[in-house]
Amino acid sequence: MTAILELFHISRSFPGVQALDDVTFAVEAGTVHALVGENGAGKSTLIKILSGALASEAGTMTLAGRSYQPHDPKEAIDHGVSTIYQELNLLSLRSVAANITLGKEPARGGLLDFAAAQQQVRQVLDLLKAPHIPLDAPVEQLKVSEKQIVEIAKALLSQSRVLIMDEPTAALNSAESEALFEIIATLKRQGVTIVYVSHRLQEIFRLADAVTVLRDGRHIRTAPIGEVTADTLITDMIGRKLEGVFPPRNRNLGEEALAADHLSAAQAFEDVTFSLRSGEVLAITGLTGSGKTELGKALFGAWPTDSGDIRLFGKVTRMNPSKATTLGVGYMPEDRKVEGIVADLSVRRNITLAILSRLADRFGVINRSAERAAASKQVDELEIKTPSLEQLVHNLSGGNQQKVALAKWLVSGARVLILMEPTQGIDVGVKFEIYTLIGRLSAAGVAVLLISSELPEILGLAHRILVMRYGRVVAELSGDQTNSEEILRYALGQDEKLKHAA
Amino acid sequence: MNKTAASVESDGAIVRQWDRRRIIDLLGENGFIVIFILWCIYLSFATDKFLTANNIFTILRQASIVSIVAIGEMLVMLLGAMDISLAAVLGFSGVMAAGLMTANNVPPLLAILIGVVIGGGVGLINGLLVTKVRINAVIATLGMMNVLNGIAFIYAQGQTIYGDQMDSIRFLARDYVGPVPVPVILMFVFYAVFYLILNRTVYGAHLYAIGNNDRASWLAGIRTDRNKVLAFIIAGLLAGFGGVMQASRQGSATGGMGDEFLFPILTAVILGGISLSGGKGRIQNTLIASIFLVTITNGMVLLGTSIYAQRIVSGAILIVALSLDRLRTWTR
Repeated sequence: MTAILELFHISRSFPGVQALDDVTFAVEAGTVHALVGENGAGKSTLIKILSGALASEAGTMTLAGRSYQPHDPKEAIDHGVSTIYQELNLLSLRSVAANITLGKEPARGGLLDFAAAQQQVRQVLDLLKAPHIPLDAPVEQLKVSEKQIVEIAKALLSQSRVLIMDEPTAALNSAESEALFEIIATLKRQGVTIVYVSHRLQEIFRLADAVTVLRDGRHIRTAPIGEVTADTLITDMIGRKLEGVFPPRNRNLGEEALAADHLSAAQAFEDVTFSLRSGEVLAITGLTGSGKTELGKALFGAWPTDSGDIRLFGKVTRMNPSKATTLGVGYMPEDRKVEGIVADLSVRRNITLAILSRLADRFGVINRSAERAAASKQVDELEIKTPSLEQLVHNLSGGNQQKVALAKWLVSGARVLILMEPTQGIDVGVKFEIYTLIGRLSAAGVAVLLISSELPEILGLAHRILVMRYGRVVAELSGDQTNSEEILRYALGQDEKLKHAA
Repeated sequence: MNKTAASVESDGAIVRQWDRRRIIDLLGENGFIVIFILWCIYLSFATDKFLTANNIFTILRQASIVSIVAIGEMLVMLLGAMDISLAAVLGFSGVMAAGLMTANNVPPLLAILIGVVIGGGVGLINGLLVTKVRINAVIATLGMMNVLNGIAFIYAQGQTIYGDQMDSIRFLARDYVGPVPVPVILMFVFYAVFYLILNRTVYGAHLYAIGNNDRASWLAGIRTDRNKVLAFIIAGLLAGFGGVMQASRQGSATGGMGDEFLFPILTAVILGGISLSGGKGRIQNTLIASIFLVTITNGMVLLGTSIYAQRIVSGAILIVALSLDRLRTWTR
C-alpha cells in the first residue's frame, strides 16, 4: 500500500479558534478513509484545505508523492481531488442538469452539448438510484434529500483520484444511502480513494478501511478499522466516555397544547389527527417523502393546508409563522442554514431575534444590556462554544449553530416546539447535549413535536411515536414499548415487506 | 432496497408545483411585453403613422445604440453587479475616436478600433477593481464614470468635435442596406451573437452560475474572478463601440455625449427582467425592453403630448411594467 495523500503539520486558525493544530496523517491509495470527530473538531476546515477552498497557515501536503498546495478549488479538481460538500453548494435557480455539469459542461466546437449533458446526468442519477429527479427543474424546487443527491452527482461526474465526502448521507433515506454505498464500493474497485466524513458510526464500520479521529483541531489517531471499536472511537472523539445518554421521560404531562384534526394538504399529507400535551415529546417519523416534513411546516403555518384544523391550546387556529411565534410556538427548521439562523448576524442577535420587540422600549430602541444578558445566559446554559457573543454565527460549528437556533426559542419562552431533524449532521457529543435540552424543556412543560428520521433519538426521547407513510399516519406507538424494527416495518409498509419476501 | 413509492409521489408534487410556478414566472418576467404589445395596439389605432415601415425603422434605429450597450450591462448585472460607467465609456470612446480622426487624421477604421479598445481597457480596470481590489461594483464604476466624464470634457475642451472626416464613419449609424438602417442590422447581429454566447456556450452557462451562487461556482472549479473581469471587458468594448456609433450618428462628438444614455441603459436591462441579485434573465428581453423604451416616447410624440406629460407617462409605464415582475414574489 502506498499513501496517495499525506498531510504534514497542517495548521489553520480563525479569529478566536485554532481550527487545526499540527495535523499529520496519511491516506492509503484505493481505500475508504473515514474522518471522524465532534463538531468543531476541525473536519470541515481540513476538507476545505484538501479541496483548495481554504489555505493552510502552516504545513505541507503531498498527492501521489508530489507536493500538493491547491490555491483554489479548480486546482484541486484539476489534480483529481473532488469534494461533496455538506452545506449544499448549489445554484438554486439553475436546473438539475446545469448544477451537475457545473464547471465541466460538455461542449462541442465551443457550443454546449445539451444532449451529452443530459445523457451524462441521466447516467449518474441512475447510478444514484434517483432517476425520478427532473433534470430541468430548478434546484430550489427540490427537497433537501434530492439536493443532496445533486451535490453527490456533481462530484461523481468529475474523474477523481480522491473523492472527499462530507456527510453525504445526512439527508438521504436508506435506499438512497444504499445506492451511494454501492457506488463507493465500485469507485474503490476502480482505485479511487475516498475520504469519508460521517457521524454515523455504522456507516464507518461498514465502509471504511481506516479511520482518522480529530478532536479540538488535533489529530488523535489514525488506525485500520479493525483496530477500533465504536466505543474507542467515541471515546477518542469526545475525550471521555459517553454516559447517561437520553434524559428520563417527563412523567408529568399537562393539558393539550397542539393538536391536528383531520388535517390534509394536497400532495403532502392526508387526514392527520393527533394531540400533543404540554410536557410531552411526540415524535413523527417516516421515510423521505412520507409527508412528515410538510406536516411539520404546516403546523407552523409555513405550508398550506386544504382541510382540517390545527388546535393550539384548545383553540382552532389558522396558523402563519408570525402568529405561531406570537402564540408561543417555536420552529426549528430542517435546513438550518436557510431558515434557522441568520448566518451573518452575531450569536447575540440570533438568540434575541424573536424577542427584540420585548427588549425594546416604546420608541423601539433595543436595551442592549438586557439583550446581552439574555443571550449570554443561553450561551452559558447551552454551552454554546463561541469566542464571544459578537461572533458571527456562520463561524460556529454546525452543532453550535443548531444550539443557537434552539436558544432563540428558549429565550422567547415558546410553549410548543416543533423540531425538524434537530440533530441532522451533528456529532455524537453535541447530539446528546441537544437530547438533554429536549428533556429539560419537556420537564419544564414545553410540548415538543419531534420530526425526525433518527430512530435512536425517537426511541430514546419520545412518549409517543407517529409513523407516516405516503402522507398518512399508519401507526401510533408508545416510545418505551417499541423498537426500530417495528417502526421501520410501518414506515416501509406491507407491500414493501412482500417484495422483500418474494 | 427498492425505490419507495414515496419518492414517486414526491416527484409528482414537484412537477405540478413547478408548472404553476413556471406560468407565474413567465408572466412576471415577460409582463412588460404584454404592456408593450397593448401600447403598440393602441398606437396603431390612435395614430396613422405608428404602424408604417418608416416609423418602425426609426424606432429600431433609435433603440440600436442603447440596446447594444445594454447587452454589456446585462452581462454585468447577470453577475449580480452593475456598471454605472458604461454611458461615460460611450462618451469617452466617442470623443476620443472623433478627436483622433478630425484632429490627428487617424484613419477611420483605426479610430473606430481605438474607441472600442479604450472601452475594453476601462472595462478591464473596472473588473479588476471589483474582483481584485474588492470594491463594490456600483461604487467603483461610479468613480470611473466621473473620471471618464472629466477626461472627455478636457479632451474636447468643452467644444463640439466635428469635421469632414466624420463622414467616413457615417456607415456605422447613418447608412442603409436597402431599406434597413445599418445600426439596426448591427443591433440584431450583436443580439444573435450574444444570445448564442449566453445560451449555448460554457462562458454563458458560467455567467448564470456565478450570478446565482458565486461560491458554489468557485467550489465547482470555475475561475469566477476571471469570468467577471471578462464580463466587464465585454461591457466596456460594447460601450466603446456604442460611442463610435453615436459619434457617427451625430457626425460630431462632445464631452457629454454619453449622458443621455445613463438612464436608458440601466432601465432597459432592469425592465428586461434581469434580477438585481443576478443569475436570472433573458437577453432577448433586454432587446425588447430597449425597443419598448423608445416606443414610449415615439408614441407620445405621434400623439402630440407635451414633453412633460411624456415623462409622466414613461415613468408610470415603467412602474406598472416592473410591478408585474413582483407578481412572482407576491404569489410565492
